[in-house]
Amino acid sequence: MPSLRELQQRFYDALLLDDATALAGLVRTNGLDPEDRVDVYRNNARERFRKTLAADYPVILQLVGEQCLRGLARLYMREHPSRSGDLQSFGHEFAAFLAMRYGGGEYAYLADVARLEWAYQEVLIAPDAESVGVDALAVFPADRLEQLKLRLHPAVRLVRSRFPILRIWQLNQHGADPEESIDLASGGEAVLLRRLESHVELRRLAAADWTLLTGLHAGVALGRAVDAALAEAHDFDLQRALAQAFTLGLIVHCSIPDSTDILH
Amino acid sequence: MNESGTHPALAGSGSIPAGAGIGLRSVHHDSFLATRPAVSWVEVHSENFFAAGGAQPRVLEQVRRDYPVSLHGVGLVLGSIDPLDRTHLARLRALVDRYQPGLVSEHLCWGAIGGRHTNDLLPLPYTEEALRHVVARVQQVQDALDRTILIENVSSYLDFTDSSMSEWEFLSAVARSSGCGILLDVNNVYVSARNHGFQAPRYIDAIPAALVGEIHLAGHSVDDYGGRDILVDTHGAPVCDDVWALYARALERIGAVPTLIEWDTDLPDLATLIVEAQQAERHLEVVRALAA
Repeated sequence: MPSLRELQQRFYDALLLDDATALAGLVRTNGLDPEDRVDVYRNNARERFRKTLAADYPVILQLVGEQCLRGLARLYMREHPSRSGDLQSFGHEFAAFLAMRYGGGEYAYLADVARLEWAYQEVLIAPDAESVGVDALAVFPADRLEQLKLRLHPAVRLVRSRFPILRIWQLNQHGADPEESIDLASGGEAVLLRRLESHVELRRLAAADWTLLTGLHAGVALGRAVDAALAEAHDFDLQRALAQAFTLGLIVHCSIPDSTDILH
Repeated sequence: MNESGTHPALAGSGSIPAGAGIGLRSVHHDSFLATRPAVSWVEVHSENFFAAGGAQPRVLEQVRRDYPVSLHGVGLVLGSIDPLDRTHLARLRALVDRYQPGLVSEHLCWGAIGGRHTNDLLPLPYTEEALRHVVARVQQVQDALDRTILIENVSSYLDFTDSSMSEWEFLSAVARSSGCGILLDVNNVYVSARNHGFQAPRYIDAIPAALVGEIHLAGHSVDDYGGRDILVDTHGAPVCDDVWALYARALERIGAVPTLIEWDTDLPDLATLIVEAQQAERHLEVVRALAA
C-alpha cells in the first residue's frame, strides 16, 4: 500500500503527465477499466485549463481558433503547470509560452497580443486606489521637479509591441467588422490600459508618452523619464503628457526622495 | 470599520437561515443586484473574491448588505500532502473578516502535489492515514480562521483499492474528530453512487444528522466511458428527479437546513436558478411544517 504522498504523486502523473501505468493496481475496476476512470479526470483537467485560457485570452482564441487553442492549452498545462489553488493565475505565463513557440516567426505577434490580454486581466482585479490631481505638484519647488517620483495607479498597465496589437485587439472584439484586415507590418503600437467604473479602457499612446509612463511605473525620477521620452521623440511635450497622466487618473502619489512625502 | 472590526453595514448576525439559497456567479452579478430576488441567502466561491480591487469586491459588499452570505472554497485542497498554502489561507481569513459570512466551507479532497495544482477536487483513499491527515488539516484551517467550517463530499469517478472504509464513514469521522460540520452534496452522493455502484440512500442514511450544516443541490451530465455511463458533476444542468427524491429523504432525517442551488457551467438566466431554489424551498416548508 503506497503512502498518501506516493498515491497523490502517482495520481498526478497519471492525470497530467498521461502516465497510463502510474495508478496500476491502485484503482478499483468496479465495472469500468481504471484507465477509463482516470480518463474522466484527464478530460476534466484538459477542459478546465482550456476554458481558463479561453476566458483569459479571448482574442488569442479568435486568432488561432478552437482547435489550435485546445492543442496549445495541452502543451501549456504541461510546460507551465498551475501553481495555485486559485485558477486566476494559471494563464500568467501564456505570453512567454507563445513567445518561445512562435518568437521570430510569422506568428510572433501572438505573444504580444497575449501580453496585452494578460495586462487586461491584471487590470480587472488590481487593487483600488485614489488618484491625485495635477494640483498635487504645486507643493514641490520648481527646481526639484526633476527628482520627483510619480507613482502610477495599481490598475494601470503599459504594453508596447512592434505589431499593431491594439488594432488586432479591437478587430477581434464583438461587433467589429469581419471584413476589415490589418497589415501586421503597418507599425507597432503602445497601449495604456486603465480601469474605469465598469470596464477596462485600452488607449493608444504616442511612443514617447508610453516611455515616460513606463519610466515612472518603474520608479524612475521624472527627470530621467523625460530624458528617455525625449530620446524617443525630440519634440516630446512634457506639460501635455503630464496633464494627460493626471487627467486620466493615472497618478496616485507624488514625492521627492529625502524630502517629506507631501501626499499620503 | 468600527472598533470591533466589523463593517457597520454588516452588523446583523449574517447567519444562514434554513432556507434555499443560490450560488451567485459573476454572469449574474448585474441582474442579481438589479432585481434583488427573494432568496434567503447567497453562496459565492471564496477564490472569486481574492482580488484586492475592481468590480468583484464591490458587488459582494452590496450583496452582503441585504443577504446572508456563505463562502465556499474550491482551492484549499485540504487533503493534499503538500503543506497548506499560507497565502491562500490568509486571503480566505481576510475575506471572512471583511464579509462576516454565515458559513465557510471547503471540500473533502486533495488537488496538488509538489506545488503543482490540478485545480480539481480529487478523491482521497479512505484510509486511517488519510483520516489523520485530513482531520489535522481541518483543525489547522479552523484555527487559522478562528471558526468552524463545513466539509463537503465531492463527486468521484474512481475509488482506491486501499480504502478501508466507505466515504460516508470517512466523512463522518472527519467531522467528529475535527469538530467541523458537514456540507452534504446530495448530487455528489448520487453521482458517486452511480459511478461506484453503491446505494445512495445508504450514504444519506449514514450521515450523522446533527452534523449537517448545509446541503448542496446541482445537476450533472451522463457521459460514455468505455461503453458505460459515467455521471460527471458539471453543475451545468437542472437538479434531476432522483436527486430531488434523495434530497427529500435527507431532509426527513436531518430536518430543515440551508440548501443551495449550484450552477457553474452553461449557466441559465438568474430566474431559472430562482425557480429551482423555490422548489427546494417547498421541500423545506414541508419539513418545517412536520417539525412544528
